[in-house]
Amino acid sequence: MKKIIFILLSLFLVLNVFGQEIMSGLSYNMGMTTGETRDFVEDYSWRGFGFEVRSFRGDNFSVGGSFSWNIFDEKTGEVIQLQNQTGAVSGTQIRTFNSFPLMLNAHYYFGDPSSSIKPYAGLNVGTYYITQRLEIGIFQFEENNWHFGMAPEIGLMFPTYSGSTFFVNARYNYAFKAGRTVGGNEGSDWQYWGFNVGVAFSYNAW
Amino acid sequence: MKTTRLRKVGNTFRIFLIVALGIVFAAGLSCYRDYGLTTADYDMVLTLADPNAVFSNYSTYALPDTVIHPVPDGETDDLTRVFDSQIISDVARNMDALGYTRVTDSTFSVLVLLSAVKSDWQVSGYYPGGYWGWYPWYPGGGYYPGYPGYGYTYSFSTGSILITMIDPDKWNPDSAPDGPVWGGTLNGLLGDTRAGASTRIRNGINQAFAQSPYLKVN
Repeated sequence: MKKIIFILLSLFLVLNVFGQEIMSGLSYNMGMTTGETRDFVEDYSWRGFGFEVRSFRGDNFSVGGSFSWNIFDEKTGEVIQLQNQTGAVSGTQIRTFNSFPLMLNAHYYFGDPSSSIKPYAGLNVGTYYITQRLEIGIFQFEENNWHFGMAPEIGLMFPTYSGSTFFVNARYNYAFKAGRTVGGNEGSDWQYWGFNVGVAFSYNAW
Repeated sequence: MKTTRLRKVGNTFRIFLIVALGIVFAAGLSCYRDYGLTTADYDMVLTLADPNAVFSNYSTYALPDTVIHPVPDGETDDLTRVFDSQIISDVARNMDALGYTRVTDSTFSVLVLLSAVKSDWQVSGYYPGGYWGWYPWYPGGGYYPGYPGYGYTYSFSTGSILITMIDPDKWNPDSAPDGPVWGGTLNGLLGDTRAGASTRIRNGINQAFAQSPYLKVN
């Protein structure tokens, strides 16, 4: 909880003390797992959303923060080979993990500020709260852990005359190892691509 | 002044709109999806093997014509026995397919026991009982043979079926169970129609052998 308060306070200070033009937006988030995370859930995620605030420092640079929620799950009958023993478990499994990134970010915008398409690149750094659950038979195993992580990002913005901006972006989310897994082993890192589309509104700071 | 005020009202509206949209969207999400699972989806097959066992050394097996219900002395259970013959024949079919030969005398190299469990039950439990007498070749002892887990204790849900393969040369009737070289457990006895249970039991037994590829003579 202290971590969350610290992060929110930092975010508040960044946005209000140094803020000039503010852009806040909402996005529909999708995702695709990679690396070891794909061994747990392979299905594409169609469920998620994000909230983001950016404070512009000039025409080509912004700092801000974001909170999002991605849900990955799948139903599978894959046989699980037991570790440390010769054996296996099979049966219908529901594998789920929820990722809640709470990040600070910085973005750089390329090209002419008045262009109708603004490509940008950025880096998000912060924490991920990840809940992992495995349901098999009548059993249910769950582990919830905080992870430090980062997410490099590229995207496109499409400003409109009304002050709203449509955007699409891709983030490679990487949450570092922490805690334990539902299998009782040392925690693994979590990796997934986030594909987000949304709308944002710009206004001057209070 | 008026323009500034209008801008502030506009900003407030936009922030409100974004927060409202976020709340509406979040409310439509759930951390865990309901997949509408059926009874069969709750079936699970667990297999464990002694890592030191060489299964190709076992060429013959004994399979008594009984599915035991391990309960303490003086107690009974009401688990159905209508599937006993199917369970025995399904296990025998899988063993035969792997190259093992069923024998009906004491020349067997492994003994295959079949059990049905009534309620939450741990295989490490001690059950002094006469039920071992049902097996004319059973090596004796009061402990249920358990799983080849060495120190692990397993619990099973009601209606589980256990298949246990025992090497009599490793069996020590006076100590904790260490004779089993392979064990499999599956669900299926409860919570379904007769036809459904029959299919689930057959699928479970087949799966127990399928996920244990080391079980073969050659």
